[in-house]
Amino acid sequence: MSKDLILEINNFSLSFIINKQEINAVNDVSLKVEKGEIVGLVGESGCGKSLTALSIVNLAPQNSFVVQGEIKIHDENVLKFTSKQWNERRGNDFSIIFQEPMTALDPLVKIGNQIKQTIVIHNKEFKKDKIKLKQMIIDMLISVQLKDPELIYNSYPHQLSGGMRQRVLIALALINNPCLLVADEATTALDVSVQKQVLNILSTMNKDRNLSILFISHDLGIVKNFCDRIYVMYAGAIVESGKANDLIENPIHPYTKGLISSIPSFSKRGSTLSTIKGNVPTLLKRTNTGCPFVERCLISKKICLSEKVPQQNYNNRSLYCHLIDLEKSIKEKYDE
Amino acid sequence: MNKYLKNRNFIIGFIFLSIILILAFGGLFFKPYNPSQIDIANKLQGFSRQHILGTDHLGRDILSRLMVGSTISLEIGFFVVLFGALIGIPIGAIAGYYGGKIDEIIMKLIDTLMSFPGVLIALMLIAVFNVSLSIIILALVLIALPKFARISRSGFYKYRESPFVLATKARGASSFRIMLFHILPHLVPSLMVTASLTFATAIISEAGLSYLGLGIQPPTPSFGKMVSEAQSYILQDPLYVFIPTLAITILVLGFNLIGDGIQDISEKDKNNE
Repeated sequence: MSKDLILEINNFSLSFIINKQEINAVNDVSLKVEKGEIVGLVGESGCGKSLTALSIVNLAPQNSFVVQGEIKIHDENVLKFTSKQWNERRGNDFSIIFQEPMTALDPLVKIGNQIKQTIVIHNKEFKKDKIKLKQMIIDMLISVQLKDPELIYNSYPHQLSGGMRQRVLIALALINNPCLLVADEATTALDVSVQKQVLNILSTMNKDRNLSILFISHDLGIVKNFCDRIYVMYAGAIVESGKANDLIENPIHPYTKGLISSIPSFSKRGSTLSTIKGNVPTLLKRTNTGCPFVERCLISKKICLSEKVPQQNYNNRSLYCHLIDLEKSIKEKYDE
Repeated sequence: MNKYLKNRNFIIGFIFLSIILILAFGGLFFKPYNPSQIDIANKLQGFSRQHILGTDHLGRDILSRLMVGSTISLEIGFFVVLFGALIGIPIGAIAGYYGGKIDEIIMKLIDTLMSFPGVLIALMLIAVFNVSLSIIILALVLIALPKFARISRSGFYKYRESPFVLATKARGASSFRIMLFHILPHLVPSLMVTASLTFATAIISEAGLSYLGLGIQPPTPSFGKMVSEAQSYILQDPLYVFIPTLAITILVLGFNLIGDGIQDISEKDKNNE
């Protein structure tokens, strides 16, 4: 196993118990993040992206349980952690940023104090050195490009704008120099220009600190330029993965193709925007017998309904589709 | 602080409470007469220069008796709220924060406690042990505790999966830390309202018990006891029964108004957020 592997998820499945019924939500997901790599995880809403992210930090909802698989950070299976180990590692070795910057800060605690707590929880030795502590926080606030760090240090969350809060959250997540950052739709709630700035901060951090990022998003445009590799997720399962540029420019799996052709762009102006018909099947309707995408796929065959899809390697891609031999037919159908 | 001074309920409640507080604290340093000194010759005097609020059926000075009675009422209210909150809030916090089976078990027990009428618990305890101030306080704490537990449970349940709590967890904060520093501060307004209402209820309950002869024992004066003694003389000297009744009313109304005031203010704060 490579030493540079930071995060490794192997055959991970997660289910919910709802009305005493087991309902599968994440199905046999495997992914890898190497040191200093930015990895994208994309898919429609309800595909299990966020659940996968929450499982990495053990914050999946209480009525869910792990069916199989392992999540390894630095070669340690985190699913076996005790709650004490979790508290030591979360926010220290690995961090998460949530989608909603407006609600992820405690409204009654000043920004400076929230960051201070995060440092002191993990590094007790700083507790006494108040001047150094404050200097660390101010430096961090500057490095996430916040102007007036002194002012922000003494502000309450409601006094800041969405973009500022998201930067504060990045500062909070990175203050203890973690090796892995899980960004769960971190830029989705921000407007386009702020989004750009936040992405710049993240990529600077990635370069300066050799930080690995698992970037979860449904915005393929961002993911293409920002990430090194991409995993495409559908209905709880990975359907395709590969190098970012290659995957976006030359998608093979019908779902990826559908996603990419539904990105609005200037060149498609005037013509009808293509969409993938239908919706992600609800948790109750998922069968896990055949290909998860079969219902909405334009080229599905009998085999797709009944047989579990094997992983196949194809042109530097890892792909879950019965029909890659028919690549041409996929192309024709979707390029019409 | 300014917003409290603008709230009418809070101000009136505060003034009412101040009257009793002045009586109680004043009584610690100066009493016009010994509250237990009997002077049959001067009984049921009504207002006069020697006895500002008159004398009772044994000629004891009513003002002095009120002063001692108010200290006892406040003492009981204070300890009932203190212990009710100290025990009830953590119980509710554990139930609400952890949820599931723990929640069910704890809340069933609390509901059981709640289903006993308050006076029944007090009677039972007094029948088993002898009447004393601490037994009365214990009985009233048992009545007050479920209220604190319920309010705290609902608050912790509401916040335990809110995004900022999840985010704080993801930064490595322990459950204890989250409960104490991140959830509890959000519940302060509603717990303060509960505290002030519980204070009022405790005082009423103590007065009720004393009226029945199960509370504070003579010769120590208490509001309830004074009312029960005075009621036989209601035709001869209506002022005698009126004064301790008024004292109870002022004290209880004061706490209730303060509770209402805090509730108004915290709701206004919430709307402004």
